[in-house]
Amino acid sequence: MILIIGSNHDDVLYYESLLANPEEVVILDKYHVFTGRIANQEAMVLQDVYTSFVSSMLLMHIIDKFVISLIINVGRCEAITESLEVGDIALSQSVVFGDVDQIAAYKGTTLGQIPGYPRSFNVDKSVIQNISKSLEKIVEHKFVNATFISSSFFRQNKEQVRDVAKDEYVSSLNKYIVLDGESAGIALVAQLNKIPFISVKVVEAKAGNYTSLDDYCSVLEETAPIGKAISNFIGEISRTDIVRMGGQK
Amino acid sequence: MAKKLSLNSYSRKTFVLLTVLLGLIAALLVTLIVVICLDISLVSRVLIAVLLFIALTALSVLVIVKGMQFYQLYYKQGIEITKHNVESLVNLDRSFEEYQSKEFDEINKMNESFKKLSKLLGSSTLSNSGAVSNLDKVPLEFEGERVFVRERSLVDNLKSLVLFSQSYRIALIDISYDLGTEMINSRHTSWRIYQSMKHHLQYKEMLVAFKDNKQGFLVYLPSFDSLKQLEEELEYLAREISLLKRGGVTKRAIGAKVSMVVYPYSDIDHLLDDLNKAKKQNKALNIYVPDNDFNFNNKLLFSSMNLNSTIKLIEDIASIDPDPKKYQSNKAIIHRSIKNIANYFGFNSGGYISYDYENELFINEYVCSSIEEPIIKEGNQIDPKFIDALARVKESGSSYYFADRIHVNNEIGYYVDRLRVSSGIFYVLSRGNKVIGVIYFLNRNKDLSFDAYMKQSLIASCHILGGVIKEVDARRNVAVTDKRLNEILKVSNMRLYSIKKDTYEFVRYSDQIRRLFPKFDGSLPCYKAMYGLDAPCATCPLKNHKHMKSVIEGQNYEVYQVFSNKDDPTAHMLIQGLVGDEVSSRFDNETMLSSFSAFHQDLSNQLLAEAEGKVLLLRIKNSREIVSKIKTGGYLSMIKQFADNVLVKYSDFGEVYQFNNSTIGLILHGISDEKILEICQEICEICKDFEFEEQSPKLIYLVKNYHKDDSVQFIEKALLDGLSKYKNEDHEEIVFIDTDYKRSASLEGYLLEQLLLAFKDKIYQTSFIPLLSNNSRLIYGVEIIPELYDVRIDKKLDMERAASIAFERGQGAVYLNGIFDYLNGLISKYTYAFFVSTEISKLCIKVDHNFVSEPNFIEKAKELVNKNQLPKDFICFEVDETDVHEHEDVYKSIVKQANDIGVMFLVREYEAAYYQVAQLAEMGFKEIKFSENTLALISDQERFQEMTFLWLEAVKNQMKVSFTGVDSRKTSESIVFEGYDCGVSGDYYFKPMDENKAFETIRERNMKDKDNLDN
Repeated sequence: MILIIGSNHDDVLYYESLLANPEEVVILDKYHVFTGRIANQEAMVLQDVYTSFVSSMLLMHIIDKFVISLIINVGRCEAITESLEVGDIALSQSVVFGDVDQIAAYKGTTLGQIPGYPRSFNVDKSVIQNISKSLEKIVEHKFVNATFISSSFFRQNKEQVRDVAKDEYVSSLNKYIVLDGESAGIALVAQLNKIPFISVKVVEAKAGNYTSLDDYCSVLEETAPIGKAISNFIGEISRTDIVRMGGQK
Repeated sequence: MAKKLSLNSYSRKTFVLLTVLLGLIAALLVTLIVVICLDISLVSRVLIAVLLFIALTALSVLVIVKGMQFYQLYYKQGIEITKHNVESLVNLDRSFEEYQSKEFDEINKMNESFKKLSKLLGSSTLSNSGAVSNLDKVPLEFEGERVFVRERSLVDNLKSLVLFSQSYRIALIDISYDLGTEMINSRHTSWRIYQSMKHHLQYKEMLVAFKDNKQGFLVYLPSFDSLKQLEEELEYLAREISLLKRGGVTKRAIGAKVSMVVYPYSDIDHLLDDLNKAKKQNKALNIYVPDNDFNFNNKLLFSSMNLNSTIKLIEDIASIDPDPKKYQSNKAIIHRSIKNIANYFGFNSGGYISYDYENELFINEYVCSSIEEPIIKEGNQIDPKFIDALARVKESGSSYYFADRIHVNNEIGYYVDRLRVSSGIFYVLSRGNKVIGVIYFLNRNKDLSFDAYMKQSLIASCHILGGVIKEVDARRNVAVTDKRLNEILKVSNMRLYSIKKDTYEFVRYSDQIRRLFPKFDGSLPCYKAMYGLDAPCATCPLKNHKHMKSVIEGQNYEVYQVFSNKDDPTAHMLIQGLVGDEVSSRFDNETMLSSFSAFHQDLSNQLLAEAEGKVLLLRIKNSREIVSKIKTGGYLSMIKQFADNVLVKYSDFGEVYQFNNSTIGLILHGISDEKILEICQEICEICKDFEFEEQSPKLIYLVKNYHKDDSVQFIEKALLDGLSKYKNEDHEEIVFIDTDYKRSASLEGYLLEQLLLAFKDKIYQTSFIPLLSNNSRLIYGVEIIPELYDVRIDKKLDMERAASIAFERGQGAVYLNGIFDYLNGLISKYTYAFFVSTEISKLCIKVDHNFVSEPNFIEKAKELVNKNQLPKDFICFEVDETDVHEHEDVYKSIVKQANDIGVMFLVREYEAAYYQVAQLAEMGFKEIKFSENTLALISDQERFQEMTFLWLEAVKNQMKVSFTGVDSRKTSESIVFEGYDCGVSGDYYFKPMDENKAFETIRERNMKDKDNLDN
């Protein structure tokens, strides 16, 4: 089953509409998720995931109850890198916690690192490559591989994550850096459970800048093409399944 | 249901009578028993009986009296007083009754507790008079829960709802979606949107009506604290209730359009009209407050409430004399008034934050507190970001009231949480945009439940107090500021003076003025003091709003007004020296745009240099409306803002000229018609996103060519004539003055205009792609591609987009009829016999779900087939796999209907992304056309195997297979699979061609070359 996670309903609107035979499942008496099939693949669409605390907790629970083969985190992010424009699309190549400082707690720990865990969580290259192929075909906006810094502060600004973003290691990971709220929690749990994951997000604003509702609506326009590309990517997996299934017959 | 007994059902009389009767009976019985049992004489018996009866009766009376006392204590006091006190508590009323039996310790303790409770409630000034639902008074037609109401019922009862409500403000909100012909049909979707409303709009007695057109909601929201807060909540709501629109080729996420009006800003009878006006603003969030001059707070505060009690709280301030010398004593009175208000309304803390001009800091100047530790300590510095946030979120009446923490704007939420504040009010004192102080009354761990009158009393108190504070501070600061300003003017070299607009008397002047006019007398009006005149100058800039040329001591000067503000009673004038007689300046001093004289000069230079190009004038059609909205600055401010915001992208083209007060000019050297149309189109799109106080500029674009033989005067006259001739155009149009050619400035309008023009006049343009059999290499069909051209600029336009716009704007029938007319005409022209003789068995045309969803699609297709007696599957409509996936329901029904009348559908751009071949066959599709992407990867062995598997599936399901985009011999040769035939097309065989060429090619290929191919 492919798990698609978004912060709010607008993030997952497109995916929810793709679900064939959708069924509602309530998780932990609070989260209403939908399961069904997207492009011939079992899929689950989860929303209302704010912060890495919630994303890691929910993901751990879902992995315990369902067989998850891939996690796709969708929605919107903010750009730290100046050259990224509103509407550009960021694919997570690596993910770092933006609000963790355990340097003094454990020797050898660096900023943004949880003791005993890597400094950054890296995304499987083949997942990035295949999603990139689909994006290339469908979306008009620029899409880039980026380092995602996740922080639980809403409307993050550069100041709050300045130290992490300026860290030599983090800045060496990728030319582009974006901010979001829940990727790191997902990355942490995905890595523990050895499940591939990726975050595909559209840049909503420069870090710390306010997005007007009209701007938001224009960013919203981007969600459908990205959704189409992701469903195409899922379809690629599915299509191969159809062909292989037919071949076995 | 069994009737429950009430203590009141037993009357006090019955109780007393019963008790007396029982006492007497008991006494009588005991007396009789005793008398019968005793063995004594009759006299003794009678005597004892009488004595005993009297004694027992007395005992009974004693019992009755005590019983009455207990009744008094337990029933009258215990139940009735308790009942009264509990009811008072429910209504948050502090008028508790005392229990009278003070001889009991327990009763005294209870009385003490109620006294404490009374004091507590008294200090908090809580009121719950609005607890009774107003909805009960209005005959609303609910649907299920008492929050869902029918749209008609809400609209019909709107006036009653507002009239019955005791609310301070009432909002009517429209949430709608631009869904075109689609509707919100899913209960899940509408329920989800309601859940979001419930989450973000946590207000009592909200009513929600699902609109009858099923494209949105109408929400009635009584009693909210802050317009800003509600605006913010609506913004958050709008960010999670977007929907998918299935129009066009693909799905599109669309945001909700939220519009709001507020009573009493909108008149009770105009709420719905104003809501429509709000919707017309056509932004994502539209808030319409009809009359900006309507000083809501003052009007409502001072007309509809009894200010007696409030006035008493602040009566001391009447004794204030704002003389700067009495500043300290005045401040003491102000502080006392703040304390009175805080005590009366029961706030934990009240105080005043003032701006320290010397150190440029905000300091908590005064605080009073009923709790141990004041919420903000006296003398503490206040974070200026907090003050800025308050200035942003405050209401138009300067106050920011919040009854509980839920309804605090996020902008100040952080600071409110740091202060651990639960409820309160901030009253922001400003001078212009500068905040100069904040009066505050705050509570910790206590919500406010004021009714409208309490709230208004509080705001009125702040309003009066704020006015006095401003006056006291202003008088003191003016003394300081005046002194400093004069010093600055003295040391500067500016010839600046200020005069009263009505009397022309000097308010202040710089020393340079005195130097310029040797006989200057500052006590006289300016015309007398400077020029020795007895009346204002004939060309006075104040009257004529133009620069005045002035000759002083043989030198040329220009006098003009600066910092123009109609609300300022003072006019500020600047005298500037000129070189020679040149009055005109390269730049307009107020807008800093290139002036008309610069335009004249530069155009002359262009002509002198024998250059050719175009002048583009952008005239703001709705300048009058914009100027009335922006209020300050007038036309010049408008033109400057327009140039700064809209034309910033075009600065590379050269200077931006202020042609007149509502027109901008651009001189574009060597530019083509196509490029200038592109620029106009871009500007039109930018204008849609730019607004002057919620009013987008509407432009007329005038284009005039200039050639080396033209004179500047001739061009300027033509431009002026053009401005006059085309000033009343209804639409935003681009007009070429020389040829009188006009077209819509917006891209969408233009595309639609071109399509309608072409289709209504039956000027069809098409290109053809021949389709070949892979085995025989003969042409078995053609794909017809409708095209759209702008002949004027000889440019091919995006036909698919034009068609999509036509469908979106309800003009789809024109496109559909045009396509069928064209097909009819084509078949009639060549006759079906020709197609038979050339073995052409298929005419294909690409369509989408919009096309097939048109109501007369099947009828038209049937007419085409029957009229021309076409064989089955001769007409073939091609649709994308993605489109099928996204509009599966449409195709599931239409494809089978089309098959029944002999028309086939094929799926193009097929990649097996959504459907297996068998699924498509089941839906009635008869052919799959692989996408170019699939073909590009055919050299990959794995992909080839996948493709052949799908091919085989198609064969099994009696479906044809075709490939498009074959562009090389190598690709052509790779399309081989076990001898199965398929259709092929692409540049390798034939490039797209026009109709004549296509039919010539068919003849040559299928008739002349047939023998050659066979051989």
